[in-house]
Amino acid sequence: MGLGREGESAVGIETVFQLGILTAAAVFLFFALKDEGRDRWLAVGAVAVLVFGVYAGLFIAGTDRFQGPPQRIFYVHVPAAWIAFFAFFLVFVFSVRYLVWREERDDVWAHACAEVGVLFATLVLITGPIWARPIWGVWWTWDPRLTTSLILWLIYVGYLMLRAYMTDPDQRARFAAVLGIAGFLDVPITHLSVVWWRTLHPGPVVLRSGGMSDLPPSMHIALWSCLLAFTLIFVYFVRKRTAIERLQARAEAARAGAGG
Amino acid sequence: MTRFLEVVWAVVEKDLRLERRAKESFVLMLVFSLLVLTLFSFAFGPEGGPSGDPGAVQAGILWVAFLFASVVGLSRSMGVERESEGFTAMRLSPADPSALFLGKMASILILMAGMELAGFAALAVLYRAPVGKAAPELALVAAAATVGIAAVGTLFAAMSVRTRTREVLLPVLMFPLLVPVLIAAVRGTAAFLGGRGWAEAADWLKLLVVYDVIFVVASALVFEFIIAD
Repeated sequence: MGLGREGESAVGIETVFQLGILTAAAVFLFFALKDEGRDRWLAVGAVAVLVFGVYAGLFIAGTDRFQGPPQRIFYVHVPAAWIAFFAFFLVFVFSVRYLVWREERDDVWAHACAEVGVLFATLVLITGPIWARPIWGVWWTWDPRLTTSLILWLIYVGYLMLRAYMTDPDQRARFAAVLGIAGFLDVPITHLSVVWWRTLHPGPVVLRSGGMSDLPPSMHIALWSCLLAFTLIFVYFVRKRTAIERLQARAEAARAGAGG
Repeated sequence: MTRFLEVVWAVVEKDLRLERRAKESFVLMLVFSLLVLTLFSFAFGPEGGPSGDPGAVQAGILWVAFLFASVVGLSRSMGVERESEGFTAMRLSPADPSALFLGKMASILILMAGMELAGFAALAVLYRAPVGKAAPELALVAAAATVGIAAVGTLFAAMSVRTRTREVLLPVLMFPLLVPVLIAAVRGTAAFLGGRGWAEAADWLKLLVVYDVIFVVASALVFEFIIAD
């Protein structure tokens, strides 16, 4: 640290932040409990793991010697980034499937993954600056991974806008699939170009080519439980999103039938 | 006077109500402005570019201009197809969709080449850029970058002109994907304008070539899904 930030107390913005997550989890649980069937237990499980993950991040994992409490944002930021990236990979997979087999189901899944992926990418773009402010002394810096995240976010916001501004469902599905494929093909080359452009981000600390990482085991508990929680939330959201899509399709069909 | 103001207010109210229901203009404006803010960071460097290198700023100006000009050309190129039922013709035609794509791409490429020639000349005159000192190398960088812009642009223009928002959506779709091209084109051009040559530009040119191969091939292959019905 040593940046001379005012009021360096044990309870910093990151603790407030974790409490914010718990509040969000409580709101989420409130609505999810109205749910019926298996999804309800999925939501309960997700919140339970999330609460444990936040607890582990605050109390099991030690305070980072160099970064201090702000390091705890890592337990949210990194899993969110992985989930977002995984979601965009799924958009790519479902887009390819759609173009090959033309099953409406694949289009619905691609759309749901893109929407939830944008949500997690937004979380990445919000948590990044909150961490960077105390550690790097700036809210934003054009470091490669932050920049790639921003570009990814813009690509998939474009994907959602393209869908929003189209009416013919078949054409929309095809156009979106093409963008879902092109967008994902663009990721590695964008990242490479941005890395060459400049570099400042801390190197990978969890997964290395060597295999083992520098993180102490106590931090691993927090990280992996948060990742599990986010994965469950991701699955829950995508399931809900596709259910909504199916209901909308039924409503549209009914309306078309009634209207003649 | 109050009558006049009433009319003004009636128009404002109508417009805002329309926007509240359709939510088209505002979201597009918002994303577009964010996109331009981001692009300028790649064109000029987040800290205003390397100090004492006028070539870097000139390269940024040049490629931002070319990128925006490409949107105008691409929108027209595909707008004409929409207005004259060109997409229907392409769909009914027995021709290979990839060939149709490459044709559309080549025509926009030729227009852009002419525009860029004038652009380099204007840069030399207006900004006293040393374009003449490395003309063949600059042309090579420009060609490699323009192929990428034309490929991605042709694909997305064919999509965007058939959305409700028409051409307005095109930059929102194509600019994020063209970030590698913009960075590489600016850096490659800056290297030659600054007299640093191949040592600095070689990697950027390689990146452009890889991008071109990926996106020309991919776009040509998926074009049939854009014209299909």
